[in-house]
Amino acid sequence: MHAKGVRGGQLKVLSRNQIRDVHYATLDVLQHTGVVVHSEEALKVLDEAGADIDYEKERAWIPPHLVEEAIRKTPHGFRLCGRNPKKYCKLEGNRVYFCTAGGPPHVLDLNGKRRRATIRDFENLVKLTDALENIDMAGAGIHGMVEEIGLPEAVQHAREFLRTLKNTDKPCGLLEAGRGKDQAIDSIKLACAVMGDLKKLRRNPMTRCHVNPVSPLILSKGLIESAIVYARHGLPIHFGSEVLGSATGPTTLAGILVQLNAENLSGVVVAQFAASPEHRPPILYGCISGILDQRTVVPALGSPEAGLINAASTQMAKYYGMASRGSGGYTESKIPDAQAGYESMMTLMMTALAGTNLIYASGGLEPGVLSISYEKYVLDNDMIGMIRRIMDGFRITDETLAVDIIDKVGPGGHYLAQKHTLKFITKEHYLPTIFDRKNYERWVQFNSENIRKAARDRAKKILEEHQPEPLDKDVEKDLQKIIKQIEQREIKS
Amino acid sequence: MEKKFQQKLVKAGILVIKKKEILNMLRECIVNLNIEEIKQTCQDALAVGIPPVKAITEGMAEGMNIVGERYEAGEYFLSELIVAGEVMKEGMKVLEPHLKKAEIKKLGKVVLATVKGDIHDIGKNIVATLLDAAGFEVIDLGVDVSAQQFLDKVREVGADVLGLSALLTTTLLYQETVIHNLQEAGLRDQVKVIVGGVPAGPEWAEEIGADAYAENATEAVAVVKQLVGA
Repeated sequence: MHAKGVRGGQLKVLSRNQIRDVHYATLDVLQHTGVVVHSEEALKVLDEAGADIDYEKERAWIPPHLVEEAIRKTPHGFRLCGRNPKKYCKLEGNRVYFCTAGGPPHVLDLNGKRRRATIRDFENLVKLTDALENIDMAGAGIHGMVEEIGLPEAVQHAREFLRTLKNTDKPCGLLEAGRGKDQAIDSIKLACAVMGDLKKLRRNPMTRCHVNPVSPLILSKGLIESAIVYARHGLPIHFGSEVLGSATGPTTLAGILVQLNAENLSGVVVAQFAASPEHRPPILYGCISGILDQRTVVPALGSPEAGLINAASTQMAKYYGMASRGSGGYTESKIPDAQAGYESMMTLMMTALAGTNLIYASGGLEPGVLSISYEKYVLDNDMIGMIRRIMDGFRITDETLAVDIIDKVGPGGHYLAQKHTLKFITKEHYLPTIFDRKNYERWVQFNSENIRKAARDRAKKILEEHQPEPLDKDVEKDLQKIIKQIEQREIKS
Repeated sequence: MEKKFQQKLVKAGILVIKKKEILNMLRECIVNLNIEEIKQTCQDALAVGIPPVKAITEGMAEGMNIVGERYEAGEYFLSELIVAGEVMKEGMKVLEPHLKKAEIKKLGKVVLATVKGDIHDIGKNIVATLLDAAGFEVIDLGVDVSAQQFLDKVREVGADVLGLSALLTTTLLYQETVIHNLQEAGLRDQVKVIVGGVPAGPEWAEEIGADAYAENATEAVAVVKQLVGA
């Protein structure tokens, strides 16, 4: 966990003029094609702001000045906190943070078997995230555990909230509302119980609303109404458009970007015009877009195109002065194999170098991230360590230029016993925790056969030894109380 | 009388504790690569009456063992291993003049060098440092050393062990030449030969009739100890 983040922004896939072209094209779409909004409440917000509304068709045409006004009203970024407010991600500028995957119903377990996930898996994966040194944020395990199938969504969600907090004090990904107003209010209540009150929560937001527009160009009722709840409380909202090029969006990368941008910005307009001027909600401008693979009919998010779209989306967010969220570490592979390594590294590296503030989904597998792998959590952790090193780049000072040391050692000497060496070795060189650099003989000698075994061994070791910072007992009691109330409400109805 | 006796005991007690403490400090100096304090700590050891041999075997050498283990376990870097050897050398400068002649007896004489055609010596130097720290008399002939030079030195000093280093696949072959020449000269039975270097390996050592191969410097020390029966 590195609260200050590592700086990206070295990679630019769009020029300034191209960014403007995308922006103007987006304004064109929002004004002339418009969006469908399945919520009277949200339509009213747009209506009062000055958009053209057709209530019957639930459609809104948003003029450019409203879009640009909403962009101006949006804060530059925000600090997403863990229950320990000292552990946070400053989502702004070129700072980059890495988050593990969460949400899938399956795990690839420590015996290499793919199966339905259990509560135990959920806890284990959050605990792993808590321990892994290069991971900043817990994507938080799984969704839809075997033991809880059939339970109301809101109950599952609230229990996951507590389960996550018990196993990590890092910022968390799953503490998000998005499936309806009730759940949004539940999440805010739960988070207030942790932080103390709404004011403190606003200063140290540990929950955010998660909105995926439905491509093409639809805002669903539950999601946008949750966003309005968060907006009115001045709490962060993530809009993450999920365009699949050639299916739910145009085939061209530029076209995907325009539609993604239009969907995200339509949400931003609703959020900022719903909010009160005293408490503007910070926005996380997200991208979960890629292409559809037309042969297998699955979303390809480990594709080079997805890498480009994510990098471009981050550039759009920066152009608007908003925090960005992108997808990195994605793979369509079913096991942590060579394909998984290549695809994950490519998408992680692209988003990291683009300067995406929050990079989501390390440790996942399969199209649509349908499973999570213990091994890949550990493998991606090393990969992120390497990427961090690359992003750190060169530090040029007299001391690092090392002229004095080069002179001292002279031709034919060696640097192994120099103080300079000991001083800088861990600062300048990243040492992978499990990637194997032994020579052939040692590799044979230690029976290291393959990296998956090393990853499994480290995962097991962490799960045996790691103790997350315990959750305050009173806070836990308060959360239990709120969860009880939610259970009573939901199970009655 | 009784009081005096007690005082004596206390005094003796303090002395025991202090000696133990200093031995610990010697060990810690090595483990923590504390080159600034090793000399003073060695002097302290002599001042409280620790025999210099004990200061080495129960102090610094134990530190070296710990460093070696940590290096093997991947906890210490190569640089730390080498610096530890140098710290030990510094300490030896203080202790050595106080060793009795009989105590100076080394574990054995090792002649080593990088073979002809090759000027890579980092690995060989590390092995030399660690052998020295382990108590061997090390005669380092440097780099680009011919078979004849090896033979002359082995004969001159009566070496127990001959170490041949090579980094290049092309110069590796010269290790065989040296062994061949040793045989021709009738010296092969008098000296154990150990080979090392990136392209070498246990199979290679066997193929050319060497006595041993070591994969890295800490292993080399263990292997050379075995060769001389120490």
